[in-house]
Amino acid sequence: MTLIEAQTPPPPGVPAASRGAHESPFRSALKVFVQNRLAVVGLALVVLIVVFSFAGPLVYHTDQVHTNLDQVTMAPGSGHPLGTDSVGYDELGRLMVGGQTSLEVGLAAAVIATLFGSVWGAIAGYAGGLLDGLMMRVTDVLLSIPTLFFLLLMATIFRPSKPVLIIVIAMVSWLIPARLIRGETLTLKVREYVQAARGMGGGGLYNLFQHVLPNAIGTIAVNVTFQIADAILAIAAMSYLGLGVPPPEADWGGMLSDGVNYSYSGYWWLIYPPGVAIVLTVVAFNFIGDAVRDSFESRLRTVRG
Amino acid sequence: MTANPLLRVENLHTHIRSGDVTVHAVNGVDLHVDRGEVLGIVGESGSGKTLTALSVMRLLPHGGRVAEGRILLDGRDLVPMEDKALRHVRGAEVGMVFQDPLSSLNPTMTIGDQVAEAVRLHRPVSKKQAVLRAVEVLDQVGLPAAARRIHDYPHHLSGGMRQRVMIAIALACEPKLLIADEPTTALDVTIQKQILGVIDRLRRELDMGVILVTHDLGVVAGYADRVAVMYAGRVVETATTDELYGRERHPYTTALFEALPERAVNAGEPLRSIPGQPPDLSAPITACPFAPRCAHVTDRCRAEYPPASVEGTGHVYHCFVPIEHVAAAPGASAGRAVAPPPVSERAAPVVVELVDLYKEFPLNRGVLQRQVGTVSAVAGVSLSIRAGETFGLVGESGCGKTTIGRILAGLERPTSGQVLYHGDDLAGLRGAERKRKLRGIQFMFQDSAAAMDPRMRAGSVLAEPMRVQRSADRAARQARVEELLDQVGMARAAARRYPHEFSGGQRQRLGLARALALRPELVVADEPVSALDVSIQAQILNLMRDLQRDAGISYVVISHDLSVVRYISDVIGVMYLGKLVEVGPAATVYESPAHPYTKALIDTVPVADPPIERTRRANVLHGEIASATNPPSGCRFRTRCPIAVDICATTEPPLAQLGPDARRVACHFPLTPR
Repeated sequence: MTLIEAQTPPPPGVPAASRGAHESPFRSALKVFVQNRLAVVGLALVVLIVVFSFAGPLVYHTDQVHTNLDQVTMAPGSGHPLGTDSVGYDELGRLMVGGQTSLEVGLAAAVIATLFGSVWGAIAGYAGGLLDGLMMRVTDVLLSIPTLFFLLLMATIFRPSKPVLIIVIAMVSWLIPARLIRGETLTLKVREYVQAARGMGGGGLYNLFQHVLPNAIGTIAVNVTFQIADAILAIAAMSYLGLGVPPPEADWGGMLSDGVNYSYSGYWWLIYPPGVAIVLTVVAFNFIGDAVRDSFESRLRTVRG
Repeated sequence: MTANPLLRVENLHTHIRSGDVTVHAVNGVDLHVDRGEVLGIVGESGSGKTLTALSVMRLLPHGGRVAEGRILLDGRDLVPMEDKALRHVRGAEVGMVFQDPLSSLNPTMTIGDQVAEAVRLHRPVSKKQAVLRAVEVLDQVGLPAAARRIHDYPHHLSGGMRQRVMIAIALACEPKLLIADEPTTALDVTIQKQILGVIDRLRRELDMGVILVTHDLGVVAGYADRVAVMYAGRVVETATTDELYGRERHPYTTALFEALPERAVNAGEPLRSIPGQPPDLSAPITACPFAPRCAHVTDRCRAEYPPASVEGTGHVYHCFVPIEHVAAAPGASAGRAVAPPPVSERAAPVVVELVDLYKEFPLNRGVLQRQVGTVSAVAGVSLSIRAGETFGLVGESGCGKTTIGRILAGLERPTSGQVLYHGDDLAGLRGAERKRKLRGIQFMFQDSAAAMDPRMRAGSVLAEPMRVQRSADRAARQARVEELLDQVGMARAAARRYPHEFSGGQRQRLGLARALALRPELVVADEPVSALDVSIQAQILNLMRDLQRDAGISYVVISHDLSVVRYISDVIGVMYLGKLVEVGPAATVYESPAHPYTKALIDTVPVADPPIERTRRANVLHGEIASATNPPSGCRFRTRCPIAVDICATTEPPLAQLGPDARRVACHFPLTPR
């Protein structure tokens, strides 16, 4: 007859489509990410800014500790490519040091906020019921406090320093990821593979960390990048209000706020460099965030398709 | 057969571009439909049957276009026609009914407005006249009290009623041609029969041509005049229905027939499956596309595509080595003697017993989620599953069969009643004890794609049950995974792939392998093959049977498809609205059903035999499944039962022993005498 015996099916281990041999979901996500031009631009910008801030001072030596009142508000020229500020620090060198603060605080605050918020939201969403209601009302209450007000309050209680800034900014920014991940968990926990794991006898925490959170990684990764941008803006805002890191340390927001005092004196070199640095960093992280979201979504498309 | 058919499609090529891949979905299709004729297009998923239908309407998905060919409707070519002109053809001259009636209707518009909209698009009539016409067509398609129902929204209607509305929209302007793309696939069999009846009646009344696109050979057998079988974007065989069913010439058509479970049951043979997979259509195929899976393949088949061979009254096929029907007896069959289901093992010990099981889901409404009622999903079901036996649970959607499966596997807890597993009540157990006990009962999901974590490799997916249960160390798990892959007939290298890299059939093999990982005594399989094509379905069913024979496990197979359940089960339980209405040995229940509902189910399942199927046209079960929030008093089936009398409304019939077999039935008036 036309058919072979069903009892000896051929080993159908051949992949369904002629895709590259077992490509991991992460690698296919990476492929989509690289195809996005803006993302590559954003990534290049971030690398550039990091190198500038952290490796720059090793090449371009300036004194960022002692003030030099002989050389205040000098216009860009020889010796000081971006001029000097109101207490005589070299503006280019200061931009590098300030970048370190902004990046460190931004990155640390974003990672802490996202991690804490994700776990909080995931537990609330997975547990459901009373615990969910309780945990989410906590976030609702905290969200109803104006961020700036909260930041100001915190800054007046604690003496500003890098760790304090990180904690304070993380405290206001974990609320958004908590809500996002709770929503994501609600949809993920009813997926059949989570149910399958329950049927095998997997407990709540096992399912949460084995199946729910890893599949929410797209949302989490996107959130981190946007949180970094937001945190950098938050530091800038706090510094602008005079609540940033105390001198001789510096950050971009504080530099900008200094510069704005002299806006009527025409000292443009005190305003544009930190301003442009902030904008570029935020835009770069936003580009990356967009692309990360796209690449994870497309991964899901191929999985379902 | 007339010189000038209603629709003639010549050498149609449709390509779908996505990214840098061009899929040659339709590869030179020729077909024609006459007035008043039903042409059935059958084929498996990916065969291009839907895209052929969509090409006629030029409703192709993004990136799709007709690359070559002519589509002549009444002599006019639709291919070069501009979109604006084509809009007058769509709806007015060609109507279309889609598979999913819920997503094809606008949820924010009343059904009356939606039908009237279709009228007003093509006819210069006032709104009032359009509504009148809407009532008229809705009446025609059998929507009860149409004049009142036109103010309803789609969500007020059941699936079957929505599909009637879709047909009404398609017919609002009395088209010459109706294209129905899997019109009943999403519906229950009893509703399917009603809908097919409606289409058939209207075809005769309006003298329309109908293209019925379906994967179901049974549906085509009863309602099509001619059938076109598609494979890999080509029509491989066309013939009148009577000619095709029995005197088919193409090996693929034969293979499709032999993969049908009911044929295997009738012939008492194991199900024959088609080896391999349909070809990848992203590269043009110049040879016969079926050659890699064909047993008769010759070198010529691999080199060129066979030209059309015409025979008798319009029987056309493309094959160099057509099937000969001279020797009626399939003497060449290498089929071994079938081991009949182990009837003698009646005394096998009971593995799981359900005792008076109830499951009710609360129905909440409003902001405060106040409970306004309960949905009675399972209402007092008792049954027992014996070692090494397959228990088939059938019923329409909403009958509670899946809920029972989920309770068995520990995914839900019953509202009341007991689940006795070797005498222990699983429903009462908690924590570690429950986890350990549930090892012996595993669940196999309908859709393995959804039931596997997309971020885990197949090896981890298979090892997960063992990891969760801490039943083996790493090396032992690894060894077991390889053993499982061997058992389900997959290469060991598959362990390193991700779930999305497998085809549906392969994923279902993995799903079965995962269910077997902990060496359970009982596997609960929820619709194990309903998402698969016939040829693949046969592979999975046979695999399940073989593994049962080797490992001695028991199955509970839950399915809406009676022929699948009949093929694989030793005992069949029929459910209706949360109640077990009949249970007994598979052959007894299937051959001589005692409950009117069982009989109705068997009568409405389409069989791939045109003369039989035609005589059964009149066997329609009217009405729809009653509401589970407010189930009927007495016998729950009485609202649809053809033989119901007063006692049925007042007294609920108990599940009582009937006849010499271990058959029990819950009916006051069983169809076979006591």
